Amino acid sequence: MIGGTDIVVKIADDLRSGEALDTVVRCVFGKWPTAVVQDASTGVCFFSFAEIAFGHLREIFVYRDKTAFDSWANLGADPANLNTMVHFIVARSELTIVVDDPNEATMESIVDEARCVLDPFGYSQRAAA
Amino acid sequence: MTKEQRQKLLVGILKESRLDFLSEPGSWAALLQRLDDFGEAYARHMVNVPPGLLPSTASLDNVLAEHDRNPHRVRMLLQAVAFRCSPEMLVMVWMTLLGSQIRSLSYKYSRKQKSSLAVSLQLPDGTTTIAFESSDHWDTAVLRFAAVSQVDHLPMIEDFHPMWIPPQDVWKHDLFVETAQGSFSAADTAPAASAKPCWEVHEVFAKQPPRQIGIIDVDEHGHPVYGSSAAAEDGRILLEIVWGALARKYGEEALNRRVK
Repeated sequence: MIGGTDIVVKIADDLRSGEALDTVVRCVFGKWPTAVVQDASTGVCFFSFAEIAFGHLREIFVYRDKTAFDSWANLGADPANLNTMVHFIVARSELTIVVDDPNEATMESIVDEARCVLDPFGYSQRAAA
Repeated sequence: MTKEQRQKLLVGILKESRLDFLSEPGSWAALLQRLDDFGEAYARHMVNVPPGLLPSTASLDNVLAEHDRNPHRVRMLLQAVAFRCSPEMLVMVWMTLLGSQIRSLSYKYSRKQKSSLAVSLQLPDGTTTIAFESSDHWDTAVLRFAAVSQVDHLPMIEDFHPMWIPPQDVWKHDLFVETAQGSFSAADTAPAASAKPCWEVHEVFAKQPPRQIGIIDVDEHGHPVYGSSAAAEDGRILLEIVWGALARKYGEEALNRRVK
């Protein structure tokens, strides 16, 4: 089994859930251009960015690629799948990012960019300090 | 979709985007013309784009359909229209919102002489690029919307975010209530496709601008879900008081119903 680390990012009050997810998924596609996005509540998968209807999403899994998606489907939270999926949950004013290892380079980069673009004034980190 | 249905939907989206003025008689025809021009400019660019990378058209019907899936993107486009961006730059914004990457962006300005913007986009296949150039000064407005960030300490503009537009004429809001704590208005700001309302609550003062207290979502059981802003605890208590007062005045059923 592998564990997850929750990172909470404050998002601006006027930024709606779908908009926040749109932005962070775009960040992930910058690192993983063939990422697969799955709606956590319905299981529906999106195999390209253009297909995704963010307005209806609140919780998603973003897999590195189709291979990672298949591997998660087969093995679940297995060490072989370490750092190949990011879990995003958005609730009013907060985005929770769940990653396996926040110090792994790609995970760290995704979290930093999400913080930078959604919380430019650093409210989340000041609140956590 | 009939012309009347299309018009009703667009007016609703403008209201939700707080761009109601674009649906007033003096602005309405110009808005439709600008959206038509945008659609034509988009089609011109798509002639040289490999099929399947992006939607082939951006007609008003396409834009309205996208609102159902991604309302924030349509809000962004309409804000760019409101800021008088040219059809060319509207295409650039729209292609970015649909998943293209901004590869480069440059802006040059000389007082009373020159204002020029050049943007290069890379489409979702990672190879096709499209260049956009404009010397229309109003196109500078796209810089207001740029989502500026850093990736690994390197510069990045991921996409464009709509601006927060303050509410106008709060006394015309959907609901209004007076309590011992003050006077409050509530407006349904949920996207048109949403089944449940999302109440944005403002404290209303006689001689100063209104203050946003927070937002009350309504869950599937009709229960309020409070989300307040910076002064979290105080805002939350105030929202609970306002919800109770509104429920007594209008009835809980009215609070669970969409206004639009």
